[in-house]
Amino acid sequence: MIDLDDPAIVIIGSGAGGGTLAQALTEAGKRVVVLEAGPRIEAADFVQDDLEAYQQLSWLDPRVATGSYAAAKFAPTMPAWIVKAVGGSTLHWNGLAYRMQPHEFKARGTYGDIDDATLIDWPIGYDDLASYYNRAEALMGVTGTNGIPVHPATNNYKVLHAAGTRLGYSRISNANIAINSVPRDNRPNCIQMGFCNQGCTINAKWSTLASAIPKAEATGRLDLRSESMAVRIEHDDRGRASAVIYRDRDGALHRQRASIVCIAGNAIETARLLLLSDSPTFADGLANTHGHVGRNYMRHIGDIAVARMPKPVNMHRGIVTPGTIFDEARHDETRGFAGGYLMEATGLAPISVAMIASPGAWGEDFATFLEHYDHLTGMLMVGEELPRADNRVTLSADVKDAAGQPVAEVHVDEHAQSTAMRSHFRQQAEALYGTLDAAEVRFGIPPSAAHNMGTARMSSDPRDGVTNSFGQTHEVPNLFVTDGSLFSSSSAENPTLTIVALALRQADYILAGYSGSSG
Amino acid sequence: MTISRRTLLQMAASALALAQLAACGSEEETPNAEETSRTLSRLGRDLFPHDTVADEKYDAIAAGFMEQDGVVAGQIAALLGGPQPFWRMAKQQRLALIRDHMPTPGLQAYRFAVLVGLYNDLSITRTFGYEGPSFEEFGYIDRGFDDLDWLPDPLAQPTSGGGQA
Repeated sequence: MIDLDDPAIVIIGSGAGGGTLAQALTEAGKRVVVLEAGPRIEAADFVQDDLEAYQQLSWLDPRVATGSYAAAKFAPTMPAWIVKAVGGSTLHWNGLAYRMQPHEFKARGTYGDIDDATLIDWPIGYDDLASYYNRAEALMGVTGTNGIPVHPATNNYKVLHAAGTRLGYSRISNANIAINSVPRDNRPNCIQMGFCNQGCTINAKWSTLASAIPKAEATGRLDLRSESMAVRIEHDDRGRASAVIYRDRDGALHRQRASIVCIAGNAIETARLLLLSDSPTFADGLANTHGHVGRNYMRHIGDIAVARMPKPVNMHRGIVTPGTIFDEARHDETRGFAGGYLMEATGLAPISVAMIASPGAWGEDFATFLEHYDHLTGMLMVGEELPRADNRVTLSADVKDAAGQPVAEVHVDEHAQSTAMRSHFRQQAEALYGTLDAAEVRFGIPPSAAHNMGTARMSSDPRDGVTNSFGQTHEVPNLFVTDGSLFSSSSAENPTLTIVALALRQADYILAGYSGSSG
Repeated sequence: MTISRRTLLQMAASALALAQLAACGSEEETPNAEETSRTLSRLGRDLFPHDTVADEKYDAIAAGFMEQDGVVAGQIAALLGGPQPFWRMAKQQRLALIRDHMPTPGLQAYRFAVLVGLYNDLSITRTFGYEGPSFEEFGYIDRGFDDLDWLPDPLAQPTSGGGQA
């Protein structure tokens, strides 16, 4: 309904960043085009089966994973587990809505100059984002905020809390989850179905599909085009973004003129799009004169523990990640690494336990472990990952997509400190479950990253990153980035709340008539 | 947390592809279909032994794998066979053979196929306590999501000062 020749605000991607930005801008009177690569799949069509839902929702377009990390070995064409559909990765996310800690915005100042890492400070501090965190929590319905009650304790959370307490941890909480505990925002309360990662069939869990997008549509100012994959951003001879070329479901190309372009394609595709938008002016990719587009890619250092308890748990019943231990989120170099990690209780379906725990295992002990499924409990480590120059997204030299464009190649060699962090987690997990007389604890590293950050990071100095603190690219004043690519550091927290807060802050900046110069 | 079907299939495919490559170079005599089927079925139960899972399940997994690539299947059977066929050997001898040959692409591929065949089968995982889709039953809010009674309810106590930040 917005004409292709009518220069519009064009947002690429409809997930946590793009969807939130679309809502904020349309509610303030702006007309917006959202180009979403994936289809529109409504909650009624979600499937409560791990493998089927994976096929339905995931970004399956091939990518190439290289390097020494687990994805290159175990998931060489699937470095990331993200969603290709309206709502983006808010469809399959767990709902954990944690704020970053103040010191994490000063990653370099706090951790120092670490060898083989490209740490910088964020160009903003916690205080700059605090009011936006408040707004995000209200928007998303985060428990423990805004008068929203926390959920009752699920079985799996009882295990985490009891074990953590016995081990001496004291910062254990099931608050700060963006899943309704009471009806709110025209969405029902959670009924503890246990398939959060397969799309919440009742929309108790916040997603942009369930909340931001319908609200944007209700303004009458949103033109959401699904199955519309952005393939190139054009600029004019003043160096301003001028149009977005996109491919529709039949493979036909269209050009939408743009007054402002905001890229929210998740960190791999956002970087890829900028790299594919090279021109004589921007030979290394749009807004990439200083070479940081695609670089400094971070995921979080991940690990999973699965323990067999002496009595039944039934971890599959209810919220998949029902609560977290925060004690190890602190920065404490006596542990042998910079930054911290979260210990998140998690449920896993039998197929996931079998695939992830003790990779390669077979035989009686392993089978017996699986047979005791209803006695199993899981825990996920989410740890700060240091940015490195060569952990990066580039355009593959060999592999092309169906339209003949190079796919993203994602290269990661984990920084040496990841070994120390995982060792520490495993030692703590054994001790933790030991307090409850666990019969055994098994570990495994999930290969595909659900958290993808850093590939268009914000920086004070244009030579250190791609955008300013508002996500406005240093070099192209009307070109913005609106997703986790912006993160200057990974922090130890799940990224979604911060992505939403940054999108709200960017919306205010755009609505205030951003000056057109870096700020 | 979930693992992708795509990842599963990729791993199976890459393991199978390697096995097929290895099979091309082999000059061993390939056992007949009957022998192969019995070997793979026995192998499946040795890899992931469940007394409560019927032979038919392991047979079906073996049949499916043979249909997918009979050449690799035969190669596995030949690798594990000796003067006696694999399925006639004593348990300790079978386990030792599996241990020795587990690094080979064929064993890797088959291990993968059995894992998926068993642990993605709701009729089997139900017997381990998994309950499958819950939407039609209105979730677990009234069906035991918090019925664990051998540990305290952390929210029934005075708070120990949790909270995120």
